[in-house]
Amino acid sequence: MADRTPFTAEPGAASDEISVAPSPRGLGRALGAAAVFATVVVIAMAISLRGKVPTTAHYLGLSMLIFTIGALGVLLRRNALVLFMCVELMLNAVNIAFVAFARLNGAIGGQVIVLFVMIVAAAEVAVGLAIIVLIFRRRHSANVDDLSIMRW
Amino acid sequence: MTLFVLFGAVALGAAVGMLFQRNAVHAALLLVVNLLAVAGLFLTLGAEFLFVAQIIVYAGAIVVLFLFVIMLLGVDREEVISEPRRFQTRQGVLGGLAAVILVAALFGTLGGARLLASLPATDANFGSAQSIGTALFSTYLLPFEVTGLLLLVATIGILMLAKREPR
Repeated sequence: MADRTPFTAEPGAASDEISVAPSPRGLGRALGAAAVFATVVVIAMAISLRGKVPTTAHYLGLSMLIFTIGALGVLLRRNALVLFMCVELMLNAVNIAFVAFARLNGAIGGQVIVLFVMIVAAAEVAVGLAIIVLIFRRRHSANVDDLSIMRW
Repeated sequence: MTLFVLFGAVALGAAVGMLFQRNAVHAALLLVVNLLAVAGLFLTLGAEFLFVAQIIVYAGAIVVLFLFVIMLLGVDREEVISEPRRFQTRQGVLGGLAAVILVAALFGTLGGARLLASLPATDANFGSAQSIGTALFSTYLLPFEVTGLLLLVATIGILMLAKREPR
């Protein structure tokens, strides 16, 4: 068994970097920060868009911003679960652009493709989470920095 | 306009909160907020069927799957829900720089009278379940079948992954 499980080569190597437990008040702080950020964005957008109707460009800009945030999350975060959530964020941002273009062109195909994206995202999450569960069983870590077994 | 500003700001705020939230469970909950706000955006664009599908599939199924896996691995274990440390300053600065470049490049493509004109009116049937179903089973029948195959492959893959190795 042992020679077939390269993941368990160094027991204990996975967990010695984890030092700080998340603060129980973390949710309140993050929600507060998100709410403050949302309020600032509301005020800024309301001022800059005063008296205008939203155009395709507005939806595309929002889609780009959310996509960038998702890409940043994939690059900066280390928890494999959060990484997957950020991938979902990116897929979802692209869906906004698809729906906006469907509305602009009056073409229903843009909405149909969003449906396909949702299906692919569901399949991807199911397989990805199964892999994460398997890796966690062997490595006892959800940290992607620990998973360098395929580095060459 | 009001609805766009409201939903857009909530979606952005939840996304930023996800980026800085270290606890995986809280990140999943913020993801729900983001997905619901995006569903609202779909509604402002006249995509009624996608509004419902977004809530059921994304907020209902996918995020629940995330939370289920977090619970399965152990929500009280630090190594599941936390990160080893806050991301380092160097990586944060580099990432922020990349984000600014990406946003600038993307925003550079915005423009033109067509994109900046107000959204064209559509008939009431646009985006309903009927119109999407008609398109799905006529024009997009082959991609639809391929999607079914994809789901089958995913199911078989998960079964193979979940199978215990004989000791």
